[in-house]
Parts: sequence; structure tokens; C-alpha cells
Amino acid sequence: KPLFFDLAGNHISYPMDEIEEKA
Amino acid sequence: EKQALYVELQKFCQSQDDTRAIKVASKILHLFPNDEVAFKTKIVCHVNRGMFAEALSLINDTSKLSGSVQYEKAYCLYRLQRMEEAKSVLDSWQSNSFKKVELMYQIHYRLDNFESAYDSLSDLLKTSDDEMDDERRTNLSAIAASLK
Ligand SMILES: [K+]
Repeated sequence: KPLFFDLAGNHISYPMDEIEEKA
Repeated sequence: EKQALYVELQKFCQSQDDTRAIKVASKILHLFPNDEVAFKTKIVCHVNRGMFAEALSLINDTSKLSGSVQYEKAYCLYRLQRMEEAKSVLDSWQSNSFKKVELMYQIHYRLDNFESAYDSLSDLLKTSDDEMDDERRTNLSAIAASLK
């Protein structure tokens, strides 16, 4: 099987801007 | 009280302490069941920990907040090897985002839809400009090799 990266997972991140707004 | 909990949540997310962040997000959701930000954070923490089935259950059990985590839902299904369902969720998601195409070409590849995967990723590479482009070109080579 050729090398194939999972890059889609890198687009998942904490909603830091919204968290900061509420903190 | 909510603000104090968010100060804690921010701290645990900054230190990528997903276990503690889940606990705080759950506290917020216990007090404020409609809090979309706490819910999304809780889902992201589960994904970070590789808890895809748990994240999916949370999303499916919380339909009123699930609108903001459709990408995460599709990704969990992808990681659980449930490709047709992952594709269906992405198809239904009203978004023209870059990340939607990134996940879609990966799903096409896993479904052996190599032509669709190739076309999507080729288009993506025309506009992408980030640190993942080298890996994207590796993925394009893998897809091209499968086309033959
Ligand atoms: K590019």
C-alpha cells in the first residue's frame, strides 16, 4: 500500500477564540 | 461561575490537557446544556484522544448542538472505517470549506473512487498554501498509483 497521510484530522482544533471570549 | 469554568477550560486547552478539559466542558454543559462552545470543545478533546466512537455517540445524542460539529462527525466516521456514512454526512454539510474537500478526497480514496479523489485533491493543491502541501503531493502520488 502506498504512503497516504491523514491530513483531515489536522483541521480539527479547539474553538480557542470562542473560549477566550467567554473566559 | 460560567466565566470561571471557561478560564479553566482555556487553561486546559492551552496545555492540551484533554482529560481535564473534558471534565470542565462537561461541568459547563451540565449547568448550561445549550452551550455550543463547550460541546464543540468536548468533541475535539475526544477526537484528540482517539475516542472516535465516544465522540460520535455524544454528537448523535445531542442533536440540538450537532450542527456545529458536522465536520468532526464525518471525521469520526472516517476513522471508524464507516466511509459511506462519513461521505453522506459531508455531502449533507452546507459548507464550501477547504477542510471539507480535504476529508472528501480521503474518503474517496478509501472507497476506491480514485478518479474523484484525484480530481478533488488536484483542485485543492491549486489553492492550498500551508505546511501540509508536501504530504498532499504524497497523497496525490498514492492516488495516481492506484488509478493505473
Ligand atoms: K498549493
